[in-house]
Amino acid sequence: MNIPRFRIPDHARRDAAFAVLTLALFGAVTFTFPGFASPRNLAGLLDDTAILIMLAMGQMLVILVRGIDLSIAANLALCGMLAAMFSRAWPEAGVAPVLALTLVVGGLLGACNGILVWKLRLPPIVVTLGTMSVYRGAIFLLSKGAWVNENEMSRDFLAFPRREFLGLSLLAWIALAVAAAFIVALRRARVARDLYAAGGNPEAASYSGIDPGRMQFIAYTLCGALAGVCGYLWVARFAVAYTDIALGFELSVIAACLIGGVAIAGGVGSAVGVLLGCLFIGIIRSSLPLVGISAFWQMFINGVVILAAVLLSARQRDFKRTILESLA
Amino acid sequence: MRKLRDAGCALLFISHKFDEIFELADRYAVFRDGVSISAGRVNEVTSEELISLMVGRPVEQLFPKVETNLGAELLRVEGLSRAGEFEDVSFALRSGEIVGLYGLVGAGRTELAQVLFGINAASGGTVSLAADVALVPEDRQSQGAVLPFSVSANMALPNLKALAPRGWCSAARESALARQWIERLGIKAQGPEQPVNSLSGGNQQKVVIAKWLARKPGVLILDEPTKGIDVGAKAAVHAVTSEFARAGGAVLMISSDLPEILGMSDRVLVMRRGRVRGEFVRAQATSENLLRAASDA
Repeated sequence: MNIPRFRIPDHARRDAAFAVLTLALFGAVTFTFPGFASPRNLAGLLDDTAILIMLAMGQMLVILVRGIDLSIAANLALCGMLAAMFSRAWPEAGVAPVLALTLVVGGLLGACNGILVWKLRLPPIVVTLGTMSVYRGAIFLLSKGAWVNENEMSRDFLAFPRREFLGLSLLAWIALAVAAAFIVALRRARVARDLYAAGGNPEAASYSGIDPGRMQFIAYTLCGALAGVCGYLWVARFAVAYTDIALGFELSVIAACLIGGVAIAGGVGSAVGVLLGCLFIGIIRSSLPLVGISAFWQMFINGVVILAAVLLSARQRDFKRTILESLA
Repeated sequence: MRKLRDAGCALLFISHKFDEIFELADRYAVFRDGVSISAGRVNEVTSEELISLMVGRPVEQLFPKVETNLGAELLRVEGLSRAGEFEDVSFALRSGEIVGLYGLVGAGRTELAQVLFGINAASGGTVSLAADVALVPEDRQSQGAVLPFSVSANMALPNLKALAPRGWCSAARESALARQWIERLGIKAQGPEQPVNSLSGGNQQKVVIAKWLARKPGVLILDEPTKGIDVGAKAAVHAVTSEFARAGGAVLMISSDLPEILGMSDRVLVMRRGRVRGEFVRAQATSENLLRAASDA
């Protein structure tokens, strides 16, 4: 019996390979446009990618437990509108209540998805497609279709994500902190282990005393809470709130997860991979204007990278299956 | 294969199913631990001789049943039912006892085990427990192990409360636990980090057994514990089961393998169509008795 030599876990090897690829992309862009690697430009790149990073971390949790959250951008938009209207109504309230409000409301919206998937056992893609429309509709009902503009939001509200520390915006710092927390927690936390088990093999997980449905609920709720807070950050950053903000952004978020090596079948994926996936998309997005080609190429390139990533992981799976079958 | 042979092909047939070997093969070679142990003509050897070559000890020791002193009652089941699956099941397990649960496929044995373990709820009757119950389920690949997980992550899974008391896992504690059980059960793995899906079936099963024994249960339910694994692993599973009973545990062993049931059990319960139709102490348990009770006669 020939057992393949085993040193580092699969995802670590894949993450390392993808890091090399991302660095190569970065190197190529920098080689062509030396200004790309300037600290200022990198800080801007991170600022542009920050919200994508946080959303992708939440989305990863959901995909890990064999789900998908299509309502993530609609949740963001609804919480963003709530935050903007809150600031208009209570301009003196400061940022803390806004953060708390969006965290709680976003979490509740995510929990709705979770309950429907867990208790009614509805397919996640249908549930979140439905709640996506409901949440978008709710924004319209709430705002009656009106915009909340920059001059209606308080100064503190707008300034919070833009504050700078050590050359980076607070928004970028928050995203880095969230990413770091996910990297550590997914590796070490007991609940993360339960999450991976529930996604990797729900039946064996339930035989080991883990309720896969409960794990799905937790994943959707966390994902929703992150989306909620991102709603405020998005609105403050772009200084406007209206019904259609972040329209279609859920697809970029899912793309970042898939590029980062999260398996759509569940149970496989790492926070490092997702972070790299977001940076990969960020580099492409910010370098295309430099090259002078249209932003539509970005979608094209993202698509090609997703297909390549999925193809690679499918080949890996086949490889494993052949090993298994030859042992059986 | 016979066609290929008659067409002049040379065939190398790898199997641990003896009936196939004796039916098909002309010559045999036995491997153990990566070394060729013996070779010869199939018509000059018996299956017992092959087994003892494969396991490395005589066949009488294949079922290392040790006599134990029965202690206190650890589990008592009275009138237990689950609608549509089994009805009015009553029995007790005592410390140190191995009880075989025999029956044809579909007799309700697995369903009974799932209720005893708590995966499904009973629709009637009572279960009284004086100890924790662990279940090694029938299908190790879909129910027993999380295949892409490493050996240590699989063993840690039902033990995380103890290994990660404040909610944070420790790779060092998990790998120490895994090393201990790899050693104790003789699991052939490169180390605690090897993914379970790259182990052989027998070693996967040992990982599943280890993950539950590590919880130190009082009652161990084994559902077809040696299905589809080679004789070496089989012997190891039997040894571990006997050791567990000798140390004061109670075992309920579901099996469709008659020699295994007869070799391992202090007592045998036979189920047919969702009911217990017979109970035999070791001395009365013969294959004839068991088969008669298991089939509609």
